[in-house]
Order: sequence, then structure tokens, then C-alpha cells
Amino acid sequence: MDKHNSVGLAKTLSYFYRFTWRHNKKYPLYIVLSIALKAIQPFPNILIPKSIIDELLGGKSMEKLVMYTALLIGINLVISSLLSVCNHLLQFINMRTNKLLDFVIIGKAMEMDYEHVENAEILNLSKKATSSMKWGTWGMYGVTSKTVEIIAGIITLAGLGYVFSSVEWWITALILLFVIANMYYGAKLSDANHGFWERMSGYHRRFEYFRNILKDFRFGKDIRLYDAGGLILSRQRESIQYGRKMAGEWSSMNVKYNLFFNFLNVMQQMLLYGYFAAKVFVGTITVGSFTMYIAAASALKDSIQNVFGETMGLREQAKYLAEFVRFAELPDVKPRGHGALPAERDFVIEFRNVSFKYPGSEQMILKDFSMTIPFGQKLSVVGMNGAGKTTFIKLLTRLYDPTEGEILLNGVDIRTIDLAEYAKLFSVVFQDFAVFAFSMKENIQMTMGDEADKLREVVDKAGLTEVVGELEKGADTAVYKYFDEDGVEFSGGETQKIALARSLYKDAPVVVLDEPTAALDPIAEYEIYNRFNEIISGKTAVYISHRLSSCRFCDVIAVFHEGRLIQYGSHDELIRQPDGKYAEMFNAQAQYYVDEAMSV
Amino acid sequence: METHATSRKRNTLLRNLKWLLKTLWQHDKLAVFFMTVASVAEAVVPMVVVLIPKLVLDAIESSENVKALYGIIAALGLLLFAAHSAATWSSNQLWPRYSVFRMQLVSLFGRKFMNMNQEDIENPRILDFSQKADNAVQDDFNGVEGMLYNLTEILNRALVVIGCSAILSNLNAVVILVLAIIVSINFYVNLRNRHVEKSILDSLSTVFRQTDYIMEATKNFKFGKDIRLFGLGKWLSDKFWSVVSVDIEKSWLLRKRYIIIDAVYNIGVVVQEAALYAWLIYKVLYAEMSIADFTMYAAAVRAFSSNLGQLLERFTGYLQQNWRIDDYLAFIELPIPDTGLERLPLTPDRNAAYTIEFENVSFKYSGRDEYALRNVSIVLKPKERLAIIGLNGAGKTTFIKLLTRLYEPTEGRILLNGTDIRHFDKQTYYKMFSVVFQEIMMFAFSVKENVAVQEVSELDAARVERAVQGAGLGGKIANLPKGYDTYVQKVLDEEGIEFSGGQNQKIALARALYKDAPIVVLDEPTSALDALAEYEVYQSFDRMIGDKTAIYISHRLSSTRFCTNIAVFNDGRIEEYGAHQELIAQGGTYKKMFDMQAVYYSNEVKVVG
Repeated sequence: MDKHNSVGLAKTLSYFYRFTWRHNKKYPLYIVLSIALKAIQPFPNILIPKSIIDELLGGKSMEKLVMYTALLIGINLVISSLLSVCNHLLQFINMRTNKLLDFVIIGKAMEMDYEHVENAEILNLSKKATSSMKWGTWGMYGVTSKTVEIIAGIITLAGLGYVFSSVEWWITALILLFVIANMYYGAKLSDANHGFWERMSGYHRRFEYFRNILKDFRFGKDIRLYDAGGLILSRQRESIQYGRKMAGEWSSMNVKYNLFFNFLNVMQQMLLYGYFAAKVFVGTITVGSFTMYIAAASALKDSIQNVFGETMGLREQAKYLAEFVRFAELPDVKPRGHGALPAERDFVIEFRNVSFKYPGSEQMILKDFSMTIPFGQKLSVVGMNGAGKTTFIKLLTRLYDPTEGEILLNGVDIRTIDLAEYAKLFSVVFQDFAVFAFSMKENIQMTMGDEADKLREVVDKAGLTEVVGELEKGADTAVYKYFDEDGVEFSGGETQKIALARSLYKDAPVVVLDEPTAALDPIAEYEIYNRFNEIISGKTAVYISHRLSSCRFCDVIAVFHEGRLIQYGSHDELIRQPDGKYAEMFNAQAQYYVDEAMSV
Repeated sequence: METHATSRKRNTLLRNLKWLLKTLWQHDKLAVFFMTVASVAEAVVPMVVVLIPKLVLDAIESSENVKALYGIIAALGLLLFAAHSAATWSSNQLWPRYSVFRMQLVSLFGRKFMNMNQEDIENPRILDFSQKADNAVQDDFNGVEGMLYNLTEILNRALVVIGCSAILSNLNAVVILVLAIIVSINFYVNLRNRHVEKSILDSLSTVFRQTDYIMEATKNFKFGKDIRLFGLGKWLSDKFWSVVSVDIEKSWLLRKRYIIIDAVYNIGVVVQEAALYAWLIYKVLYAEMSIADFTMYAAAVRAFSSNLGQLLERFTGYLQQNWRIDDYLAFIELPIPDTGLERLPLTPDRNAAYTIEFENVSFKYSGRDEYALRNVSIVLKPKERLAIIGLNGAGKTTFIKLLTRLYEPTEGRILLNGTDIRHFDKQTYYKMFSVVFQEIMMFAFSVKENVAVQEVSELDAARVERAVQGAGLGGKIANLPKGYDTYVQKVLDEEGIEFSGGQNQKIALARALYKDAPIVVLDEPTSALDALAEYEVYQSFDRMIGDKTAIYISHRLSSTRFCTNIAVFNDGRIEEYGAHQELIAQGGTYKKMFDMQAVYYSNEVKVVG
């Protein structure tokens, strides 16, 4: 993946504006209203008090005083009321849009090529995309409020320029000079702080780790029995020491800059006071104008700081949001295919000279691998850890495409077949199978329709009938407690059976089982073995296991070794090759049982 | 223990404040100093700002020449700068110090966890309880830090309110009363809304959890395979939407309330400003108030009402944080039960002979009715090899946890050479065992540290290497660029390595070998290994264990062949006990299970599924 294809500021922002607009056509209206109201908000408080004070010192007309005051209070009320309504409507749109953006993320995560899912870099990107919606920016909340603040601030500045137009040019220039100095060093401080937090993120992650293992009861056993407390606490202490050092750096850096800003601001304020007070003193301006200019100067300072700060903030946020856009628009690389499945249902699958390496890796996991799986065959795949067994399944089910060679279904390259159609051919139980936090029934039926008889049948075949019977809510019991307080934490063996039942419910022509009894005790395993034929009944089956005993009920055994197929044949054939890998592995396990079985 | 969690004493405000300040003082005296300086200095700044316009206008009136006027303005500038600087300097010390203080409390929390019984930290109720306590030291905004910030702000706002009151006391009591009433109404409305908001957020907490769950699940590669092969995209999206739409609906309700609250607030502002202007204009016109005073009073009124509002707001914030401190302290102060038995000495010695006896031991998890283990009696003789087998959930792992004293028996006793083990110091008793649990937990430290579970400066490197070689991973580790200094996982070191399940299992074995304790316990140590690797472990078992006492738990009954005795657990009891030949001859559960596995390995039988 190209690290440099970062998404620019303009493109990022336009993605979010357009997205929001697509889902809420009133968004621009509220934005424009908010900007207009925000922009004029400071002016009544700058201009009207001048008239009140001048009237108090001059004409003293009660009528005029009442009118000015009513005008001031009235305008302020109208502006803040309208702003409040606009603001809350916008906040609601932001909230809803954020949720819709979450939707984009999960949709993308579920639809993108599977190889992206296993790619650490893309996993990281997807995490960044998610967190760009969270801390610090809150997604659309940040974009909307910053947009409003920046544009309104610029309009306010133009208005204030008009107020100051009657003042000597050099005083305006002086204010600008202070502003520029403020901005320049403000940017420096902001960069310095950004760098600081970048460095701190690693520290936070480490500190969180210590915090988590100490309270994780799964670590508790080892912590106690191996007296790990000393080690962990000392590492934690080191970590806190480092935190203290960093915190000290942060303080001195921020104190330094902020003292300087204070100096600039107080200087500027006092210069203006001095200048305008002298003018009142010599009688060039009224006391009312004095308060007006002081208020205007303070509004000028606020607006400039605001525009500047929010612009920096938006730039910063856009860097995070760019990751969102990058993830949302991540291109797929794998052909999806659009051909139909072959008409004849006696599916023959052929691996022809297939080689495969994982993206970004140099190591070939499968090397020039050829094998045919005839329809209805029960194939056992065995081999040592890392021999390529699970990779073989991922290629077969098209989670990955071969690097070289091809896989054929009834002679047709599977890459030309529609991916969703192709997926319908397989019932798979992966070694790291996943069970969702929904009800057991939903976990088994998924989206495959609700047939009570079929459910009962697969529950029985997977050996779950007894488990279901003992549950108060039966198959409607939730797995885990995320969605239901009464949810149940099933044991490893039980969840494995749920996964098995799910694959049986799918009733696809090809069944793939990857270590489906690893978490089962001997009796449960025996039951599955014993009923394997009944479970599979006439389908093609691929069975992977470290328990070579399972080879006994398969027609053919394929022995994988270092990415190659080194032996292929029935148990009886392979066991007669005494130097072969199969006999070696089988006997390693069998010797503990065999002489015994004979002696009994 | 649970009663502590639920019966919270309500009136803990002063106690917690005292605890907080005392603990902060112990850890960081300067933090207390900066907190005080920051509150005072931050209060001086707004007061100076209120006074400046008046003082400048007065100076214009009274000065004899422009120079004198400049002098006064310069003096005011200096004062403002000094106040600002003191505030900046001290308040920039707060976050770092508060944050480090919080980390020390996190560490205290962790130590508490380590000192509790394993049984307690596995108890869901205590876990819930600890989760609440943990919230008090979770981030820079809530709990301990939130309380400190609120405290700083309360001090600071209170000073401003007092200052403004002093200025306004010259004015009219009615004005102050009107201001106070408006502020109180706003505060009350906000408080009411806070409750509604909280109850809505509480009701949404499930929704948030579910949203997070689905978002995480869709990105997880484990789920990714099933999502694709079962075509679950739309199904999960629909589920996500049905959860999220509840959130959106509630959020709309909240927004509508906010609009009303803002309206109440805006009306309050109108009343305040109208009263203020009416009074001030009257004063200027009929009571000869100067314009300078007019500007000062106007500024003071606004500062008074906003600071009083903030003060009340901060106080509610403080109360909320105080509840979290209650949770934290309740957890930290949980008593750790003591056996109350006479403490006897124990010196674990790998060459000594130890006999362990379970005498009618029963165990049930707290809050459960059924026993996990019932009337178990068994003797483990010196140098014995015991195999434990049984179905899932038969009580095998519970047995190990009792043996190693991670759990205490509910009934019955466990004896070591005839002495009840509760007479021994727990930490010392732990030294008796090298255990490899079924669930392998790797620390994100270096391989070395994972094996020795000691700091690098203390560990014996040669012994680490011997242990890793003994576990059959010597070649692999030696070939890594950083060898034994390689980090496990990437949490603490970017260049760390994710070892496979089998490799982790071997590192855990090495950990047990390094510890070299008199009794070895292995719980399913080969489940992640392939046939040949498992065979290797079996073969080297004798070498690894030497002449120590050993307990071996496995679903693979083949493993029983190198054990002297076999205990078959069923439903929390020991159903069969004896040597392999004896149990086979008995023809009970053991024989049945053994045959079930053996039949597939037998050459005599032709298996038809």
C-alpha cells in the first residue's frame, strides 16, 4: 500500500460536506444562518453602548436611553435565540451524520477484499478511521463548528476593519503586527504540542498495557504463581518516571510560550488604552467612542485568535479525517467475477500449479501445488504447524487468490465466478471460528431462513441438543452479555459446536472443517467422529486435524509439508510407506494407544 | 465483601476531600502549592479586567497631563501582566502533576489487585466493582483529576464572586438579589436537565456497548471470514442500524430539551441586563454616578453572574466526581481476609519430599449454588506423576487452582506434609509450584523476562537459555536478531514478535522450567502443537520433570502412559483413580474414553464412520 497517497485538505473536507449534504439537504441552510448570526454577534455590544454612554453624558434623553437599551437587549436576544436553535439543529445533524459515517466504516470493513482484513497496515488504517470520528474532533461536530467559526470570524474581521477605518493607519498596523507575532508563535507552540502528543501516544499505550494486565484475571494466575508483581510494578514505575519527565517538558515549553503571549496581549491592550485615553484626554473622541474602540479592539483580538486557532484545528483534524476518506475509498484489488456457477452440480475442484505468498511477504506458503478434489470425496488434510493447511482453505474458499496458477471449478477458473455465488458452495468451520454476541439460534441460522425442523436437526448433529435443553430460553439464549444481560458465556467446546451447527445449517455442497474438535473432550470428539458420515452425508468434505485418528474416516489423505503435497492416498496406502511423513506422524500418536489396544 | 460495594455511605464529601488532599500532599507537595497559586492568580485576572476601564476613565478625569495618564496605564499594564503570568505559570503545572498523581493511584489500584485472592478477582461482582473504581483513575477529566480541577475552579470562582460582591455591595441589594435568583433558576434548570440527560445516557449505555461491539466485530479478521462466506454484510448492517437509530432518536429528544433550556437562559439574560441598565441609567442620571463607575458596575455584574453560575456548575461536577472517589476508596479499602491461623515456616526445596493431601475438599464459586468440586480426597506422594483426565467442566482446572492456593476450599482441607496449607505464607507456598496453564498468558516484555519473570538485572541468563532449550525453542530464539532480548508482541516494542500458539506454549514451559519448583503442573500443554511437536514434548517429559512431583492434565489420553497414577474427574468428583492397567481392567469411564481415542489408531480395526 502506498503510504504517500494521502488525501488533501480540500478533498477531505469536501468529502464530509458532500456526505452530510447528501443525507440532510437543510445542512447548508443552517450553516449559512449560523455563520451570519455569529458574524454579526459582536457588533451590537460594540456600537450601542457607545450611544448609551454618549447620551448619558450629553443629551440625557430618557426616551433615547430606553430605546438604545431596548435595542441592545432585543438584538442580543434575537441573535442568541436564533443561534441556539441553529446550533442544536446542526448538532443533531452532526450526530446523525457521525452515525452514518460509522456505517460507512463497517460497510467497508465487511465488503473489502479479505486480504485487507488480515493486513496489519489496513487494520491500522481502519482503526485510525474509527478514531478520527472520536476523541479530539468528534467527526462532523468538529468540522461543522470549525467551519462556522472560521467563516464567521473572517466576516467579523471585515466589519471591525470598517469600525477602525477612521483611526490612524499605524494603530491598525500595530494591532496587525501583534496579531502576526501571536499567530507565528502560536503555530510554533501548536506544532510543538502536536509533536509532544505524538511522542506521548506510545507512552500512553504502554501505560495502559500495565494498567490492563494488572487487573486482567487471566494474568492473575501467572502473576501470583510466578511472583511477577515485582517485575510488572518496576516496569510501571519506570513508565511513570518517564511520564513525569515528559510532563515537566510540557510544562516548561507551555509556560515559556504562554508568558510570551501574555506579554504581547497586555502590551497591545495597554497601547490601545494609552492611545485612546490620550484622545479622550485632549477631547478628540468622546468617552462613548473610547469604550467602543476598546471593545472593538478586544473583539478584534478575539476574532483573529479564533479564526487562527480554528483554522489550525481544522487542518489538524483534517489530517485525521483524511485517514477516514482513505479507508472509505480504499480500492479492492481482487477480481470479484460475475459468471454463474457451473450448471452441473457435481462439483470437481482442481488446484493446478498453485503457488501462494501473502501480500507483503516473500515467503511462498504453497509451492507449485496441484490436487483434485472429486465430488463427494472425504479428504483429510494433515501436516505440521505451518505446512500451509489453513492457507489451502483460504485459497479454496477464495478469501485469497493464488499468486500463481489457478483453481478450477468443473474446469472454470473460480476467479471468473461471482464471489457471492461462489461463497454459497462452502460450509466452513474455521479453526479461529467466530461466534457473534447474538442468540444461539441467530448464530446458527444467520441469514439463511428460519426453519424450526432444520434447526433442531443441526443442533442434534452438532451434539448441542442437551446444552439447548438445559437452557431456560433454549436456542434463543444470547451468547455473551453484550445484547442481553441473561446471555451465557459458553465453553470453548460449546461454541465450537455452535460453529459446527451453523455450517451444517448452511447445507452447502462442500464442507470444510479446520480442527473442529480441538476444544472438545474425548467423548464429544468421538461422537463427532462417529457421526461424521451422517453429518457430511454425500457432500464433499475437507477435514483438517492434528489428531491423525481423524484420517481413518476419510477416503483420501493429503499430507502437506512446507507448502507442498508430499503424500496422497488412503490411510492403508500411506501407513504402508514406513519412511513417509504420514506414518511417522501417525505412529507418534498411535504408539501410546496401539500396543495397549492390542493387549486389552 | 459485597456489602461494602453496595452500602455506600452518602456523606463522604469531607472525608474524600481530606483523603484527596492528604494523598496529593504525600505524593507531590508542589502540586498543592501550584493549585493554590493558580486559583488565586486566576481570580485576580478577571478582577483587574473589571477594574481597568474604570481606573483609566478616572485617570482621564483626574490626570494633570498626558504623561501622568500614561504612567497610570503602564502601572495597570504591569499589574495585569503580573497576574496573568502567575496564573499561566501555575496553571501550566497542574495537568502534568495531576496526571502523574493519577498514575500513581493507578499503580496503587494495580497493587491492590495483585494482593487480592485470585478467586476474588475472577468474581464477576468484584470485577464490576473494580471497574467502577478504575473509572476514578481512568482519564484526565474524570475521577481524581476531575475532582482536582473542579476543586481548583471552585476556589477560583468563589474568590471572583467574593470580589465582585465587594464591588457590588455599594450598589443595591435588590440588584444582587435579582442576579442571584436568575443564576439559581438557570442552575436549577440545568441540574434537572443533568438528571434527565444522565438517565437517557444510562439507558443508552447498552446501545453504546452494542455499537462498539458490532464495529469491532466487522473489523476483526476472525469474523471477517464468516462475514464473507456466509454473506452477513447486510444482516450486520441492519443490526447496527437498529441499535444506532435508538441513539439517534434519544439524541433528538435531548436536543429539543437543550433548545428550551437555552431559551430559559436567554430570558434570564434579558431580565438581568434590563434590570442592570435600568438601575445604572437611573443612578447616572439622578444619583450622579460617574461613567467610570457605570462601566465598572456593568462589568462586575456580568462577572458576578457568570462566575456564580460556574461555581454552582463546578460544585455539581465535584459531587459527581466525589461518587467516583467513593468507588475507588471502597475498592482500595476492601479487606483481604486472613486465615487467622498460626503462621508456620515453609522453605520450598526442589530436593525435598513433599506429600500433598486433599482431605474431603469441596469448592463452590461465590454466589453459586452448585459445587464445582465435591468431597475430593486424594494423596499426591513425593515424586509421583499424576494424570488428570475428564470431560470439559469436570473440575480439573478448579482442582489445580485449589492445589496451588489460587482458590481456598469451601469445605475440607489441603495438607502439605500433614500441615494445613493455610498455615503457610501464600507467597512462599506459591514457590512450591511451576505451573503451565491451559490459557497461555505472555507478557509484552522480552523473551528473557517472560521466562525468568524477573527484572533483567536480577535474572540468570544462562538458566534462561537452558530452560528455553529444555522446552525445545532454543534454536528458534537463538536465531532471532535480538535473541533472548526479543520482545514478545508489539505493545512495548515496535520490533516485538508475535509468536505462534505452539511457540507461546513452549515459552510458558520454559518459564516453568526456569522456576524449577518442587511440583510441576501442566494443563493441556500440547493442545496447540502438531503431532510431531507433541511427541517431542512427551519424549522430553521425563528429562524436563526429572524426579519432581508432576501433574499432567490432558484430553489426549496417550499422555497418561508416562504417569504413575490417573485420576478421572467427573462432575466435580474423582470417579476413578489408579494406574493405567488397573483402570483399563476396571472397565469404567477411563477405559471407555481410552478406547474411543485408541480405536482410530488401531491397525486391527477397520473404521467405518
